[in-house]
Amino acid sequence: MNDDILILSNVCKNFGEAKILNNLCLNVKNNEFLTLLGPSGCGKTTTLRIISGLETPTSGSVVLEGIDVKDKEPNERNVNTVFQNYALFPHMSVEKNIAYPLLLKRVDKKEIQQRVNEMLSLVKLEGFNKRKISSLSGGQKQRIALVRALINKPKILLLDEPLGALDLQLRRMMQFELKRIQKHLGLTFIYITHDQEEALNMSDRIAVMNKGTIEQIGTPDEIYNRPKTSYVASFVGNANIIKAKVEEVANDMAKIKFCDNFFYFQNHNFTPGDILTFAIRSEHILVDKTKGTFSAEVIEKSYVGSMLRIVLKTNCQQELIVTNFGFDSVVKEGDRVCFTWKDNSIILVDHL
Amino acid sequence: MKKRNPYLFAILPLYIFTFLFILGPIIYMVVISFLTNHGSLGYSWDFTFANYIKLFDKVYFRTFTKSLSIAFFSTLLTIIIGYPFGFWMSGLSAKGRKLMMLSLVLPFGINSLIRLYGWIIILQSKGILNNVLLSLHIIKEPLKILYSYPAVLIGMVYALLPFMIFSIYSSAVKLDLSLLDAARDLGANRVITFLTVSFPLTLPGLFAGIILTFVPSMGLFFIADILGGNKVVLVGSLIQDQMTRGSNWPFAAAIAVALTLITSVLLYFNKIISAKDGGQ
Repeated sequence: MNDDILILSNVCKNFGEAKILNNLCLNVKNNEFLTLLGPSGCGKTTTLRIISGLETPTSGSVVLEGIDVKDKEPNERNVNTVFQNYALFPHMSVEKNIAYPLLLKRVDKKEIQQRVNEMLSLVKLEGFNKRKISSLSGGQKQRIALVRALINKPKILLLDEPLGALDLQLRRMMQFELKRIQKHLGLTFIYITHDQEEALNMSDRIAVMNKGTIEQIGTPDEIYNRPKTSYVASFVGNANIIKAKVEEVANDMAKIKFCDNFFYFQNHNFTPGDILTFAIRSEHILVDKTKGTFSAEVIEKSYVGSMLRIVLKTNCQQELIVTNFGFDSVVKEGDRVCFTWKDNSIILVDHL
Repeated sequence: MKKRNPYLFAILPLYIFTFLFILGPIIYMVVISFLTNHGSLGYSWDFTFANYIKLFDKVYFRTFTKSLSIAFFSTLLTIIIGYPFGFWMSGLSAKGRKLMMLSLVLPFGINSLIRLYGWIIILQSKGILNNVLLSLHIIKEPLKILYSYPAVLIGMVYALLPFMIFSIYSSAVKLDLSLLDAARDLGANRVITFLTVSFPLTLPGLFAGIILTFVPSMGLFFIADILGGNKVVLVGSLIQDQMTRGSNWPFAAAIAVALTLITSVLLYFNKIISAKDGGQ
């Protein structure tokens, strides 16, 4: 057998007329940190709910540790969830919340006590046993929700945008913390986020979702540097998408026309006249007053964090976003400039 | 110097109103409950405990126990019917909830006495209920429900059910559905989820519903009068009777004071239990 702990094949889910998931296939490896990344409404949460058993797929199969669990209740699956808004029981103390799964199983009281304390020390909240949920801060609630989902020793932990409600600093800390816990316990994490930065930071692999299917799955490096589709390229890292036409093909190189000039790209069985789509990252575009292959006009210049952001308008009316570290640039809004891109930085996308 | 409440002047009419029309009558009631019944004025200024001692007469004492039992059972029945109903209602679509709400509120547009007379038509020996049961051969002889304890119970439950349903509904509709997902995810089946999460979180609604049904059912005298005939005499009817036909105001006042005390004590217990169990 292989080391896939979870296999979703051709999973479809309809809510009435709406098709939420469309032939979704996903293999999750043992002990990996997999992130489902996508905009809201792309079916991330539904995928998670199908894995946990809170939803049943309309069609397709869900195989967990070699067993088809499609029709099994959530309590028959060795999977637990950390919910978006924590979903802690407000009428129970911290201790009762964490112990809830064990109380259901009628585990011995002493053991419950011991395991609750273990869990609390895992997230450094020792002594919080009797606290009320309403007295906790957002970060503390988050940690309690995390250990409540962990106490049952699940094989897979599902996390539905767990850090969505926290402020930036706390988010960073919790990202690190989650990663540490995942390594420490050797668990499989399936993590949902719409924040690409979070996905790139934490994941072993990222599955980029769009309209109920997975567009591309791969390591952060693959997703960022070798996006296969224009959707992935623009969603992760906000790449510029350009269309260009093949002019000539010579053995292994193709001459391609973009706006007012040409560039060369490795030939992939192109024929002259083909319209190709390319992605180019904003940090790979070089702008200069005089040097460069293409010409454009600067229509916007602004600072984003520690980056300088320039918007160019090419001769063929396409807008391109350029980012540079540092604030020094000779160009001003309204200037005519030239631009080119770093070698090998342009990526062919949407090419089957 | 203490700072004067700047809004005192604005609130003052409210205080005056409360003192004159709410606290005043209560004090008046308590005072005359210790006086002696006397011909023309209604009472004379002779201090006595006799009115209270009279409450323990077997006849009067039994009206109290009867009232308490009616109140208890009608509250219990409204819970049994109202809880599932209110809970179910909270799960309907927005449109369904509005429709249901409307149909619950609509009868309030009709005078409650008239609605009670409607029950007479249904319950009487040649009424709709008996006709239906007879024609279905479920019973052989007409049931004598009207002018009996069950009829009063039916009337009470009918009159008070909406309040229970509203209370349950308002707390059930606020239930965070992700909590139910969480419980199921953590290993609870649907029944356990209800018992450990949904039910405890709707307890505040249930306790509010108990107050809204139990307290009025102790005092609603006209339901017992109309549907119970003169066979079921409750505390409310007794007070009314002593005020009017019996023209014994001090005794009526003593009964009223006793009723108020009993209800207050029960409310206090309700509050203690609800603070411990349900709400925060």
